Formats: sequence, structure tokens, C-alpha cells
Amino acid sequence: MADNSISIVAALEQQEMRMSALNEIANIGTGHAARALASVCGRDFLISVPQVRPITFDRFQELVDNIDETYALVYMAVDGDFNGRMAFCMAWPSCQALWQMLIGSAPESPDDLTELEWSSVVEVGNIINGSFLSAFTQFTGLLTNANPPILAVDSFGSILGSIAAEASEQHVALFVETKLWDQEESVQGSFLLIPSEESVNLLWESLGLNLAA
Amino acid sequence: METKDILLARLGEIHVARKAPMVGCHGLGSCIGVMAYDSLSQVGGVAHVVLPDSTGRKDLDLPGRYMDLALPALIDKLVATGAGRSRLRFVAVGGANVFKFGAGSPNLNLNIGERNIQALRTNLAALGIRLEAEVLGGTHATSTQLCLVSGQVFVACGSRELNLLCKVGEGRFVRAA
Repeated sequence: MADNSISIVAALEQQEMRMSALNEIANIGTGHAARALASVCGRDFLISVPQVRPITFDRFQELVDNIDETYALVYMAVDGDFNGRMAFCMAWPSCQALWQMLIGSAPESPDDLTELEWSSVVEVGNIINGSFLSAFTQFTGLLTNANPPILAVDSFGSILGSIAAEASEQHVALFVETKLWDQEESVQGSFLLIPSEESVNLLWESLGLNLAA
Repeated sequence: METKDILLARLGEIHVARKAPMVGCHGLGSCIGVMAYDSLSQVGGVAHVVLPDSTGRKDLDLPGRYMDLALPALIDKLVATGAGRSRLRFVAVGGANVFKFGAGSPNLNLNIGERNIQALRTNLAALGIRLEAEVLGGTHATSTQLCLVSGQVFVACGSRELNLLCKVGEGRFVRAA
């Protein structure tokens, strides 16, 4: 029994170390993303200390208080050593503020976006996700390759439900609860990381945190 | 949007009730909300279906998750709550593709909405069931609610408010985009 409880404690400690490693990766990734966003928008962005929340797909819609709230999500497939999905999420007012900075005007309704409007958000999301991933690669040594992104602007619940279906074979979802915001707090964003199971194991290995020991 | 006194099915959930409260699904993207109602017993229910097919899948704990399991599970629950199997009328909402801006990449499965609709039709046909009303496909999220006293089905599409789609049991086929 003593042996057993020791191994349980060891496993929990490992989990704790893993969570803090994930938080550290999220911190570095978000920092890079904020710098990328700053250079695109021509103003500084600050970040909060990110908190990574692992969540199952069935409970995906619980990530938000109000699933009817409109969000913009720039979603992409990631391949390489570390593969899966990644998304940058913004509530509708943040997205409107971003448009103001990028093109000087913003649409009133999410139902009708012009090509300039949606493509500018896709491009910014691409840059932000890409810089998050390059920081990830620097930290872990695992190669990542970002694929062309796709954008949804709709109720957050419907987008998360669609992702739960789309990515369900990946099985591991990590919600990076972080804020990156400009001085006026007009733009805020968060990240969603959905690595494949084998990628997660590879990540623990690369960080020396695999449970095999 | 009114969410008081309503039993909302989350991903993969099935809810069945008699008379009250209302049942429904909010935030349907590629998922499909399948509703069924028996106006005589005032028993109705909803399944929030996420994926088309359970074949080869291991996570079968939630029968509402896959279309092939969700329909029989919904019907069984309704019958167990007092609905007459032959009196059940069906309405389905959802199956949209909300990821509509940009190219994406071929390794994303962006046709799940379409595949869910196909699975819905195939499985309904196998059970000898026709839909009484539907709001399927498109590129906008939907929300839906079923009133178990009146049989009225309400649907909200995109950023619009809930609107009456149909009254289940009137036998008039309604299809909205």
C-alpha cells in the first residue's frame, strides 16, 4: 500500500509539473503572439499569465458563460512533430476593434462580412497562431507546421460544437485562458490548443516529463 | 434569448419531458438538434447530435453523440416517458458549416454538418420516419426550442431572434433555409 500511495503521489506531482510546463509554454506562446499583434496593429499589447485548462469535447461548450455570444475564431490544422488543431478566439466587440485598427472601419453585424473584412482577420489570426507555434517549437524542440486557417464568426457555442465534431478524433483539448489586450482594452483574445494524443506524449518526452520512469 | 424554464441539451445529451419545461438546443453549428413530440401525451424530447456514425468509435457513453444511436435512444426515452411511438412527429435543426471564411486545409473535416444531415436522413428512412419540419444546412448557427404544451417549435438563425417554425402535429411540411 505504501508503494502504491508513493506512486500515486509521484503521478500527481508529474501532473503538476506537466501543468506548469504547459502554462509556461502558453506564457511564451502568448508573449510571442502579442508581439506579432503589436507589429500588425502598430500599438503595444499586454498579456495576463495564461492558465491552461484541459477539457473533454463533451464539455466543450462549458468554456463560455454564454454560448449565444458571438465570437470570431481563426482555426487551423497543425502538422509536424506536434500536430492537431489551434485557434485564436475573440469576442465580437474585440473583433470589431481589431477591424478599426486594421482597416479603419468595422461591420455592424456578423452575418454579412466583406472579403476585406474576413480576410484581414484570417490573416491576423494566421500571424498570431503562427507566432504562438514558433515559440512553442523554440521551447520544446518539436517542429510545427501551420496550415492555412479558416474563420468562423458565429455563436461561440456553435463554433465550439463544430470543433468538437471536427477534431473529435484528436481527443485532447487544452483551452489557454489568457488575455492579450491593448492599452485601451479594446482587443482581447484567447487560444485553443487541440493536440493529438501522440503529440501530447511526444511533448512530455521532449520535456523529460514522461511517466515511464 | 429566453433560457428560463428550458432544458437545454448540451453536446451528445438527450432530454425528454412531459408538458414542462421546454426542451431545446442552443449553439448548433455542424451538430443537429433532433426533436420529437407526441401532441396527445404532450411528451417531447431533443437530442443534440454531434457526429454521424458510431462505427469504430469507443466513446459510446453518451448515446446522443452519434446519429445512428441517438434516434433509437431518443425514441426509447420518449416512449418510456409516455409517448406513443406511432404518434411521434420529428423536427430537425442544424447541420451548418460555420467555418465559412477562408481556404482552410484538406486535413480539416469541414463537411461534418453535411454528413450529419445525410446520416439523419438515412437513419430516419430506416426507421420509416419523415420529418415534419426542418432547418438544415447553410452557414449560420441555429438555436431551437420545443414547447411541450403547444408543440410549437422555435428557431433562431445566425444573430436573429427566435421565430416560430411550426406547430408539430399539424402535418404540414415546413422547410426553412
